[in-house]
Amino acid sequence: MADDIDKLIDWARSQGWSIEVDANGYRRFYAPDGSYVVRYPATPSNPRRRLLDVVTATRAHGLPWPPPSKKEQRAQRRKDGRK
Amino acid sequence: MQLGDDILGGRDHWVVRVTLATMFPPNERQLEAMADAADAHDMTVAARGPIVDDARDDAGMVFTAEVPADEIGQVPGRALAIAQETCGYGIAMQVTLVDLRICTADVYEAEALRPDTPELLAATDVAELLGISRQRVHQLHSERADFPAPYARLGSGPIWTRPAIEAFDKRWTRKPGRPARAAS
Repeated sequence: MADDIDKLIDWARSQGWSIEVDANGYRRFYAPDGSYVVRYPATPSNPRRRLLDVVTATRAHGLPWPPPSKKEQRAQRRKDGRK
Repeated sequence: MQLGDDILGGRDHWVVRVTLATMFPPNERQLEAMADAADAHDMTVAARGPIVDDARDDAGMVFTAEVPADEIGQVPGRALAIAQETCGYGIAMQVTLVDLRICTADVYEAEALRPDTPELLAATDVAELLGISRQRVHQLHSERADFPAPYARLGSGPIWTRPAIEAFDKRWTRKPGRPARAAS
């Protein structure tokens, strides 16, 4: 599950979102316009539903879904001349 | 609110989403205060997403919880109480319930993860899917009325949605080889 929230964070950052992690482990999601949207707890008792809550909230604020597949990401990197 | 077992179908837990509207958008400090209080009930608090861009009427927040069937009716009141206790006093923030959804965890997950953008294909991808050349894709596009219209036209060329191309592939009767020369 930690892996899933990290993937969501990576995707959101790539789309102009900023995610701050505080000393207690809370991840706070800010939309590209800087507005605060939602947070993900450090140790949620129901991590799957909490992740879905964050997905739902960030999508409601314009985060495109789904993220591109690994194949598409590789193709994009090749196009951009990156490894 | 009481929902009988005949309606709930014997399911133990339900996801309840409560959308509350406010006169002014809650700021980060207020949302954090609500989230702190909601954590005790394993609820998530998020800023309400805009229904229409920049519409002030969309101010508010969304509470999400997963609760046993016999607690469904308590969630809206719990959300209202958290919002009023953490933000209502002295800020003139009128809080009203505007949306209430109850679904199973499976339905919630399916809706949360449902793609909102169709899979898009450039001419190269369409060519690969149909097993033809890229030039033939453009030829079909310009010559056949039943070839799908592009979803968008970018600087790099037209793009199509995968379902449209797959539907075309199913109904397309291929005639391999050179077209017969018209009799003179």
